[in-house]
Amino acid sequence: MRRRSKAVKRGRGRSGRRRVPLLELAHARSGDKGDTANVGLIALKPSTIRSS
Amino acid sequence: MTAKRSPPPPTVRIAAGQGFWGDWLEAPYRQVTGGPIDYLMMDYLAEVTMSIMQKQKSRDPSLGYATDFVPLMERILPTLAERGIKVTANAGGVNPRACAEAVAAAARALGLAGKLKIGIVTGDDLLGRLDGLLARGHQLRNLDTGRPLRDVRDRVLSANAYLGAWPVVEALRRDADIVITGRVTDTGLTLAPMIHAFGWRPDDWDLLAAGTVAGHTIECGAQCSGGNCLVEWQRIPDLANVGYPIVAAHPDGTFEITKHAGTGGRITVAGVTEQLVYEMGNPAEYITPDCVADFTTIRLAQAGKDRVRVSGVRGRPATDKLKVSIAYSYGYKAVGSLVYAWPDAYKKAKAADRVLRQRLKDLGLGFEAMLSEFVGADATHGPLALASAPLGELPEVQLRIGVRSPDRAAVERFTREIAPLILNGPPSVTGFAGGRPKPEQIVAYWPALVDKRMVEPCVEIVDV
Repeated sequence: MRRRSKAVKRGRGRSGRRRVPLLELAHARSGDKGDTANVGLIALKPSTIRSS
Repeated sequence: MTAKRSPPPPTVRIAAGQGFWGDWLEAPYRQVTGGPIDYLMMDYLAEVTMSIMQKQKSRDPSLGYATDFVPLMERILPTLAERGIKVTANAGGVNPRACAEAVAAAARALGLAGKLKIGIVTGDDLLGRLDGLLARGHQLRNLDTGRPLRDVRDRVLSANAYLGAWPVVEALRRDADIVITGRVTDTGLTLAPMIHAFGWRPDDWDLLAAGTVAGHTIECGAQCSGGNCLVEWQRIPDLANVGYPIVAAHPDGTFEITKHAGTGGRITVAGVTEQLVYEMGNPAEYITPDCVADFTTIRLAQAGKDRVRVSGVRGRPATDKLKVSIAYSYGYKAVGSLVYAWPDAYKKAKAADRVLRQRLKDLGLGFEAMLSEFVGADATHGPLALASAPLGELPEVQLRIGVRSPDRAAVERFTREIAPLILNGPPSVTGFAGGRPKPEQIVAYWPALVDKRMVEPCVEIVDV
């Protein structure tokens, strides 16, 4: 790729939050039944999941 | 086979041989010859499979089951008999009896007459009973939309209740060596051998939930042993020789997921976790005919190389309903494609799409849905990918366009509009060797619930 997607542009924003590709934080698997699909996300590190 | 009243064995090994109809034909053979196992479990049935089988049975009453199962069994039957390995498989589809007869014939030809018993589980097929059920007030409402089944009754192709583990347990108790079923749940095929071996009771909810989790983990074959696994996928060893998973189950409901020594693939907490969330609705409430399993209670630990230990599973009482999988005809579809080459491959494909849509509009053809994908640019990641892909430099782009309509003639006309674009559309086109696309019937899925008491599972045992 010659240029990076806007969607995954890194660096700190004004809010102090950082945008990173989801793949850096989680792995995933999807499955489907009829027209409905689920996406299961699994944090690579348990500390990534923060209960709100 | 083994004496019925011997003390429960500490470990029962249940090996997954097939994760769907079409899975790797080598896997069952490798599972029965590659190391010690007690049971071979083979899952064949996806939602749409039953309607395909029902169609085959309507053309030929001796069909309607997973035909691949018979030559596959022929290959492993001598090993099964020699090692005392039992089989649970829902290969029977909508015609378990015909499937059992074909396997019995294969066994006799191998000189195994009098040496094997086949259990047949039926009672799941509700197609012939639908009108009776509707007349008695069972509306079989679509679980997703709430619509009553009468809205599409005249287009129903198949209707099967999901049976659980217990009819399979009964077949095993009656000394079946091979249990061939219709629509038994994927998980029930693994849970049944555990119930049978350990003497679990119908209200041992935690144990039944544990066996259900074991079944869910291996029901998709190698999908938990390195296949389709995202975590460090490039480091998963020797997928060409991938080992299918084996559950080593214990009477207390704990179990390990493992595979035969010397096989490829990888069994790790990460890979097993991916499989656990596959096709998951509410993780706290995984509902089967046998119990309600709480997947949030599962504890996983790496117990060694290619060995994951599973414990802590909690379960709750089963509901009084069974899920019914109904397939019905939903009009027609056709999909055509053309490939455009660099330079400006994406622009050429877009132009072809515009021309084609204009012509369909000018012909007055209305479609319920029309979908264009530009394979190489947006087919897997959608508009998000278009925002960042180097669209001007893609080496090639495939225009893949599909239509859907209740009107077969409109779909038929669409299939004749693809090829002309080769000569009268944008340049640098290829990839039309496959010929004109064919209209196909769309089979749609209608999930419903029915009262358990309306479904009577039936178990027969036949001697080979």
